[in-house]
Amino acid sequence: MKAELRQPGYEAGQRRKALALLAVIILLLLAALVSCAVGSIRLSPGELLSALFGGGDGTARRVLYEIRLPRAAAAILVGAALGMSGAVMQCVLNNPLASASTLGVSQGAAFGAAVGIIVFGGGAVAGGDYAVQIDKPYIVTLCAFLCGSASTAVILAISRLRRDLGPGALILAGVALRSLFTGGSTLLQYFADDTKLGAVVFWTFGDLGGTDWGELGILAAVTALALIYFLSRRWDYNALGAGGDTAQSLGVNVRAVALVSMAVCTAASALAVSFVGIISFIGLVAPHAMRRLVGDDYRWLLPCSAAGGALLLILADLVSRVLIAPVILPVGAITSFLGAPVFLWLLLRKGGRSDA
Amino acid sequence: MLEVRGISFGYSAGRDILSGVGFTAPDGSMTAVLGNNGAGKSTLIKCMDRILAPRSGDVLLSGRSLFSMTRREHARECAYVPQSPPGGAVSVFDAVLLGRRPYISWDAAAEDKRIASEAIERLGLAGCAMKRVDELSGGERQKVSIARAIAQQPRLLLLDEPTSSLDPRNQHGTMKLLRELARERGITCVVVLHDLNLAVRYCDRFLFLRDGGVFACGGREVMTSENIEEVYRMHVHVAEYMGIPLVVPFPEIQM
Repeated sequence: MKAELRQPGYEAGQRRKALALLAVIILLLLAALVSCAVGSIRLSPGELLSALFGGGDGTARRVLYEIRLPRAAAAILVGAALGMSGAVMQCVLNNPLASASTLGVSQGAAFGAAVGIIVFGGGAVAGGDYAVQIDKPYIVTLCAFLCGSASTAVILAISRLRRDLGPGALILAGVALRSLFTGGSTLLQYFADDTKLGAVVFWTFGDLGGTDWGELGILAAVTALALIYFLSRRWDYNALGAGGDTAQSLGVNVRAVALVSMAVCTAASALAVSFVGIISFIGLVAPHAMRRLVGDDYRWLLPCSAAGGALLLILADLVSRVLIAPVILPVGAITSFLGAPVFLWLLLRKGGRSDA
Repeated sequence: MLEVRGISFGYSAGRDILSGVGFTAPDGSMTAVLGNNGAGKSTLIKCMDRILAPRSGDVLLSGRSLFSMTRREHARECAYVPQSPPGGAVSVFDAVLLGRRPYISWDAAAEDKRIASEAIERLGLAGCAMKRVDELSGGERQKVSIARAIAQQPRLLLLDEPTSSLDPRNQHGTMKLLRELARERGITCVVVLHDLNLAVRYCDRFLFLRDGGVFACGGREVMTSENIEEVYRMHVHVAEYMGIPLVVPFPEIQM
């Protein structure tokens, strides 16, 4: 037997994937810097950098630390949470069309959050601007998670009970859940008072501007924990990519991995939704863009989807702010314009078929 | 020594698909699992690999129960090659490296990569190790599946109709390769087959299933026209041509 058995192309391929990840992260940082510089008060690169490190004049520092940076951080964290959750959902459900927003998890979470804010008084509306101040993030988040989980439970039950259903059927179930929860939210809004109504409606469009550093801390912790869990399962996701039976024979507890992964996805996306509202299609577009870059290898796809989701959302936010400045358009609408064509393209390309 | 004891399986309230299936096979042997559609062949090997949970029974490998092992231990002893070859946008190398999953704790070590490359070379896939699996032909993809199973370094290898999507040349190539692997590494192979000629030519043990039970099991001596006719409900002749055993069917003769 030969002593040296090597695959010379392998390490090069791994390096190329690492470079792709690095490139996405660098683009993300650049986009974040641009996003911090652009706005009604425009900061030059010099002003931006000096304000960033505690120098410069007070206005620039305040604009940066109280408005721009929290906004960019929210976009990065929410985008990362949605992007990696989308990749994991597509894997464990073996469905290229899966993501928090297409399966109704986001809408469930939004309904839950609305219940938390309106019924349990988890939030109040701050003055004239339509920003929801979440006073009791735990209650709102818990409600969001519980209702998001209801969607997840239905989706999981359907995918278990009827394995013969195609990917399209699961998305149709998502449509039903979305209608149900959107209806519920509408009813809540109908009985809410005028100020709350305006705020909740605005908030369901998706708004990155309302988060403070405390909420961002929670979001960062949960997103980081979710990423660590997903990465620890990356071999299992790769095994699932080779088919459920194969994964099982490689020692993966398919049922348990699917259940826990979906719960973690639900927690991460429900939290994101409860802080910034519904942001659609990031979880669909980011993983598919990254699949073209690094393939279906979850060792690279997971971090790339997180970085790619963050990049997409920060770009969408930038577009929403500069398109008809000084008006800030709802970022959820921008991502929908971006995501709907991709969704249709996926349907047409594969007919919604997924490879076993 | 492989010892399968009294495996029974059924979905919820329905009738049993398998009832009390048991057989033995020596190390390094190749057992063909034969029978009509619906006889429970695929179900049997899925139960042996714990992909399906049998109602009762056990699988012993050198006296140790596979069913009392952890999933990880089990995956080191027993590998499975599914009927449909894999697809997906992953390289052949990564697809084979997946076979090391039962040994990997956080990341693949140099040893894992060496074993994966060795499996790739053994299967003659070295030329396309960096190609994407979904760019390969059906025969090559089947080999990727087998290479992944070999990289698991199992003592028991279960294959579900490994030749069903292959052309004749690849069918014989695959069967010949499995027989070689079984002999050189002492891997016990259990192969679900529809093609009786492949079975009689490459396997040394034969397990006939009928209606979820064992109809006959043994060496070449059970491959008789009587047994085959009883199981498949079709007239056959077992003959030999240039030293090669053949099963010649005569479906036009009414039974």
